[in-house]
Amino acid sequence: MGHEFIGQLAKNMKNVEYDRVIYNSKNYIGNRNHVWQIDNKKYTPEDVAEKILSVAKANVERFYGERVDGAVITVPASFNHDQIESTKNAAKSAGFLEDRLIFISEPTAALLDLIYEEKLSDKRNTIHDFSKPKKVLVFDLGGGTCDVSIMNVEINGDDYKVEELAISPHTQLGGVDFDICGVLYLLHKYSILNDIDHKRMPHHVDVKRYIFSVLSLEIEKARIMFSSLSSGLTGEGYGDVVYRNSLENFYTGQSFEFEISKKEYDECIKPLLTKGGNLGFNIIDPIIDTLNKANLGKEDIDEVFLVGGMTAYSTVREAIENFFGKKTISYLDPMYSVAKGAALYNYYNENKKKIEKGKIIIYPVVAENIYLDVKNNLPVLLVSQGTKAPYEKVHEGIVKVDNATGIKLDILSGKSIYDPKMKRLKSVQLTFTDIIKPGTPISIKVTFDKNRILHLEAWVTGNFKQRIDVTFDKEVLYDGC
Amino acid sequence: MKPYIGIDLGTTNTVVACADYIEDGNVKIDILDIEQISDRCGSITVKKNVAVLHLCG
Ligand SMILES: Nc1ncnc2c1ncn2[C@@H]1O[C@H](COP(=O)(O)OP(=O)(O)O)[C@@H](O)[C@H]1O
Ligand SMILES: [Mg+2]
Repeated sequence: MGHEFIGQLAKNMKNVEYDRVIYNSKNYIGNRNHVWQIDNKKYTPEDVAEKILSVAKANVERFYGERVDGAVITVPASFNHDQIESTKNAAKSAGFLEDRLIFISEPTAALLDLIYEEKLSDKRNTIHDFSKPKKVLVFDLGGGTCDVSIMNVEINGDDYKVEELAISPHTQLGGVDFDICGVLYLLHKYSILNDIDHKRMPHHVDVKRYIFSVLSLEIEKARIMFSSLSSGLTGEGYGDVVYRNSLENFYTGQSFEFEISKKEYDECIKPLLTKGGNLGFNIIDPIIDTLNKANLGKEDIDEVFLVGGMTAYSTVREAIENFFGKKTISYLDPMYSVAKGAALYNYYNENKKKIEKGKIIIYPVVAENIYLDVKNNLPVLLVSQGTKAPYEKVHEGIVKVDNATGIKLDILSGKSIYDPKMKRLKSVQLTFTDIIKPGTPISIKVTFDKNRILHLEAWVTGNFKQRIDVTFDKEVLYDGC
Repeated sequence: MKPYIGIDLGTTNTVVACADYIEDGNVKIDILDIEQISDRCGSITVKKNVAVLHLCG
C-alpha cells in the first residue's frame, strides 16, 4: 500500500506515474458507478473530494490553531441534486458538520467577491455602479470546464442581492483543451525537425501518454509566461514573446529543443475561441446558449465578469470582449474570486445577528427539471428548472397506489419529458404499514433546501399517519407519528 | 480568531479563502497559503491554492 499525495507536486508527477494519478475527478462526482482503481484500492469521485477537503480543513486548522467545522463550499451552478449531495457527503466525511455546511454556486460566490471589492473601492473610486439592478454575465473558464451564468445584481445601501437568471449547460472545455492545441503543434514541429510522421510516432500507449503529459505541462508553463509578460502588450503591432525549453530524453533517447511564440500559440487556440471553429466546441457557444435561455441579447448584458485561471490569458479576454463589443471586468488573480466570495458569505451568514447593517441575499435556482414517473403515462413535472431555492410544494393525490402494499416512485431529472438523456435520480418502493386499497391517492411534498438538495415526503392522501420520508440515501418509514 | 472559510473545490485547483472582521464594518478576505506537509514517501504539496490528488505507490 502506498501513500496518497495531494497537490501541485502530484500534478507534476503525472509525467512519471500518469496511471496512478487521479485528476478532474469533479467531472464525475455524483456518478455512483464511477471508480478508479489503484493497486487494490478503489476510489470514488466522492473519496477524492473528501481527501482534498480534509487537507484543506487540516491546513486551516493548523494555520488558525482552531477547530473548523463549518464552511461555505462552492459548486457549479449547473450541478444537480446528485452532484451537490455527493459533494456534501464528501465534506461530511472530511469532518465538517452537516448543519455548518452551506453550498452556493460558483458564479454567485464570484459575484459577491466582485461587489464587495467594488464596495471597498467605492471609497477610492467607483468603477462599476451597482446601485441600480444590473445583469451581469459571469464567464468562468477553469482547468476543465467553461461555465457561463447570467445573474441579476442589486445593491441597496448595504444589502446585496444576487439572483441567478440562467446558467449554461455543463461544458467540459477548459485549460486542458488549450494545452492540447499547443501539444499537437509542438508534436508537429518535432516531426518536421526529425523528419518523421508524428501521428505514428508514439508506438506504445504509455509513450503517447508520457509525451502528451510532458508537453501539456510545457504548454501550460508557456501560457502562464505569456500572461505575465504580455499583459497590456497585446494586439496588432506589438512584439511577440517566445517560450523556449529543452526536454531531455524526449523520444527514443533523443532530446527535444523547442520554442513557441505567443503568436503561434494564439493561432493554435483560435478554434476554441471562435464560433464555428473547426474543433466543434468553443467558448462562444455556451455564452450564446445562456443568453438564449435568459431570452436576452448580448446588448442586454450590463457587465461581463471574468473568473477562472484561463481568463488571466489576454487572448481569451480579448475574444470575449470582441464578442460583446465592450470591456470586461477581470481581476489580476481571476482564480481567487470564487473562494473569496464564499468566505465572505460564510462571514455574513454566521454573523447575521451581529451585523447591524448590510445583508447578503442570494437566490439559488434549481438546475434541472424534476419529474415523477407515472405508470402508463407521461412523467409529471414536480419542480421546474429555474425554480428558486429554498422551495416547497405539496402535490395532493398526484399518483395512485397500484397494489395493496404500496407504490413504486421513480424520480427523474432532465431538460424536458422528451429528453433522451433523462436520468433516474431515485427509484423507491414505498411500503405502507396498513393495507391500502389500490387506487388510493398518494400525496407528495417536494422540498429543495437552500443548498439545492432535494427531499421528498409521501403519504396516503388524507392520512398523514401513513407517511414516508424519501431522503436519497435512506428511506425512513414513519409508522404513525 | 474564528476563521470563516470559503472553499472553491475546483476541477483542477482548490482554493481556500478566510474572512475576518477588521473595522468599520469591513471584512478582510485572505487566500490561505496552504503549506507543505511532510510524509514518509516525500511530501504532500498543497501549494498555495492547488490541490490535485496524486496517489503514489
Ligand atoms: N496566469 C495564467 N495564465 C494563463 N493560464 C492560467 C494562468 N493561471 C492559471 N491558468 C490556467 O487556468 C487553469 C486553472 O484554472 P482554475 O480556475 O483554477 O480551474 P478550476 O476552477 O477548473 O479548477 C489551468 O488550465 C491553468 O493553466
Ligand atoms: Mg473554478
